[in-house]
Amino acid sequence: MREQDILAQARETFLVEAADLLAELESSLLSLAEEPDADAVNAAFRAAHTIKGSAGLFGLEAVVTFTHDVEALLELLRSGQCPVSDATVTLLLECRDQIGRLLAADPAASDRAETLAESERLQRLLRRARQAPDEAGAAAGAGPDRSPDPARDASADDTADEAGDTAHAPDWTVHAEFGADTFRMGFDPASFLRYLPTVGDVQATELDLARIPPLDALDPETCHVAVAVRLRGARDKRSIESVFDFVGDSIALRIVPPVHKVQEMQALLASQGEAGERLGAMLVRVGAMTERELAMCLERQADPAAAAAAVEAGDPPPTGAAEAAGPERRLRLGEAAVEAQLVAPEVVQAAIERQGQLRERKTEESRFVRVQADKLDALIAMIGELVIAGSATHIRAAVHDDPQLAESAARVMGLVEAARDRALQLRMVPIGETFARFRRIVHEVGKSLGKDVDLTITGGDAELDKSMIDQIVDPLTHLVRNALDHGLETPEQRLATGKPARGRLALNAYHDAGSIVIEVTDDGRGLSRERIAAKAVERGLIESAEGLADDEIYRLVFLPGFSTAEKVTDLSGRGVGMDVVRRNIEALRGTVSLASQPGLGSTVQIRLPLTLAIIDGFRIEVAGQSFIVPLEGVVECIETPAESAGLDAPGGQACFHLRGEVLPLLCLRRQLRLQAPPASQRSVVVMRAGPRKVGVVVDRLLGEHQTVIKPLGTLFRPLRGISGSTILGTGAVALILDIAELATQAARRPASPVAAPSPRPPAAARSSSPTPLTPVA
Amino acid sequence: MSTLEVGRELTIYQVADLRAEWLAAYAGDLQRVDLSRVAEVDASGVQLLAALQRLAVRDGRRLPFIDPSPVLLDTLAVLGASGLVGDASPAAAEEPGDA
Repeated sequence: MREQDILAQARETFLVEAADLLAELESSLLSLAEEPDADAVNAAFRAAHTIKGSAGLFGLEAVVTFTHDVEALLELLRSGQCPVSDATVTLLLECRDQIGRLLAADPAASDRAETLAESERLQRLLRRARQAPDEAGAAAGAGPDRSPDPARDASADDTADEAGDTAHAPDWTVHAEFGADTFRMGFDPASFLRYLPTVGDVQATELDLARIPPLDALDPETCHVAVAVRLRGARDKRSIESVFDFVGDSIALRIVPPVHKVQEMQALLASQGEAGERLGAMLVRVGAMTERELAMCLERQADPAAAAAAVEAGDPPPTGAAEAAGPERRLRLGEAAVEAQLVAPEVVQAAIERQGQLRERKTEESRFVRVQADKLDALIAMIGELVIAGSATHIRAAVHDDPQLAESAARVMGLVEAARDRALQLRMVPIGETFARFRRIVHEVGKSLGKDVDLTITGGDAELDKSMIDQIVDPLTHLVRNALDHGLETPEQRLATGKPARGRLALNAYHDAGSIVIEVTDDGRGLSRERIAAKAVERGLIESAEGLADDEIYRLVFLPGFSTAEKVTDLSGRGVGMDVVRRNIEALRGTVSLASQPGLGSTVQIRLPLTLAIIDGFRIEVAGQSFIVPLEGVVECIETPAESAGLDAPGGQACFHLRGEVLPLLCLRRQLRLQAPPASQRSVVVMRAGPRKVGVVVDRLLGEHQTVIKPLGTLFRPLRGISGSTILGTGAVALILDIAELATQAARRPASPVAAPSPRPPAAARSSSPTPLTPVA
Repeated sequence: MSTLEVGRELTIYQVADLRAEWLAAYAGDLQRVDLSRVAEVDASGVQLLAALQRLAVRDGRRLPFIDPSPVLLDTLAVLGASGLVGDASPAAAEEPGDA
């Protein structure tokens, strides 16, 4: 692959990952808006930081400089120097959008100047927020300071224990044991100690007099100088260590950080890190160990004999675990570091825990593989062809009287079915990701409308086909905006009616008998039957509301040109909303319905089929032609009931009863206007049609059939009642029927043809005596 | 002599010789150490002083270190050995065992 191709592909990957990071940034910010949380600030900071770094790799200067400013503000939030206010969060959300724009921007685009101007504007605001955090908060009329401050508790401890024991001291403790040859090498410990104030404030120093032998036993040129220093305000371990760099290895240094530093390290460990990072590297990164100390530990690990020799030479002997392990056994790095008193045990503990977490996360991440969507589609298409070809084989095998061949063919079909199921599963995506987008919308729209709304999301695990996810977003968005705009009242209105000021909006999803159901529920004013009916009459959609059930009235809302909004707001109310929603859903072979309790709220329910490409079908024959109906919709097959005698008469409609239920009969021959005399022997397939059941009268039942759905051409798109076609194993074409639609049509306008929008006279009578509607027994 | 007057220089270059000198003085009737003349001192010198004091403490002898020069005081502070001089020092007490 050429280098520029590699780069282009890497850039593609970067953009996809950047999108994920932006989503993470947004959700962290939204979570901050709800409740101050150190984790959320850290997550937001990390996301921005990673984007900046990666953008730099691809030379996206504009992104880098802009994100840098965003990161700077996030850093102030993280350290608690800047309070987390509503205004700050809103500004950061705007910045997040801008980063997205900058990433997507084409350098040659005409609106580039606009985009850059926006960057400048936001950067000005970011600078102001950084310089005068309190001002920025006050100026925006923000809420109270809700910044998370993990260090706050530590500093409280500091002042309380100023005079107390070293365990809670705010100071570093440095133990420096100069080696025996220090004088002989030409060094003077005093000169190093004089340098120490450059890295911190020396609070106290103490020479360990006990180490110095009495004069008669002393070799004056051998150094026995060991001091303990209390140091305040040093930046990190390394800066202290560096004071003694020149004296090389002949010094034993032990640097103990103050408590708040230890806590800082633990916090850093908990929030950062990459999978696979070694313990030593982690500890060095957060400043718990210096490189030198790590090297020393590793050396001791690698060469326990040398460690033993070191003990011989007068180094402090190993204690605890190290002692128990004996000089031969290799100590784990963490243990070694703690034993050598180089790192506090709780810091090592935090590091080890974090390693475990990251390891887990990595195994989780590596469970996923990115696949290009068109490759997946190609695979599924191929499996579709396999289904058809397998079906043909199956049919031929049935013709030959060869049981082994039949068995073999059946096995192949079984495997093909399994492969089909798995392939379709690949395209399924949890709807939770889509739902999550709405948090932002609810947050912002709620604000702009002055409504306080709580969004609850459940059933995010429910999966649906990837292609549907994209198509469901627009209708869902409209429904959510509708609920926010018209459904939910303002806090004042709600309180006046005795409801809590906070409105509730809920998004829910679940699977139900081969479909996925998505519900948008609000606890607002609900639908007003009277207003809807009045509007419908006004628009000439119905004559009157007499005799119409509530749900039939509510369904009027989905008709084109309908809108009960008093005024057309920015968001909705132009009367183009609900019918577009309906059409979008129906284009996905789904249904949408409304339920409501006036004053209490409404629920919009969307039902979508789980799969688009291949379904389990049931083959039926009418007038010599094969048709397919979805197998999941088939309840049972029965012999033609007595009541069906009235079917063939013009205008005749029959019902029958089945175990106490009364169900309508749908004669396909009539409904589809098939020119053939009724067969002598007929069967009825009892099928589910939406919430109801219907008995479909057919000539022959031909059994289960794996159906690869081939969509109808654009010419046939307006056709209701036919949802697709398929190619049978014999090579013949079979139409896939939408029984629910056919049944509805049959109920509305008896015996009218499938596609006609206007009623036509019934087909020529076949029997002379008109049969009245069979009364219900 | 009863007073040891430590000279100008108390550094690594002198400590070997000074040790012998001080041990000899200690073997005699040494009663105090005068540090007013010290103008140059390093850690090895401080160490030597500390070793002398330890000797005295071990033997239960009273041996105060008096009049430390400013230079010496400074270096003692840097090394955290200010306790070597002054009334609270281990060898200054009437009965060193009580210090």
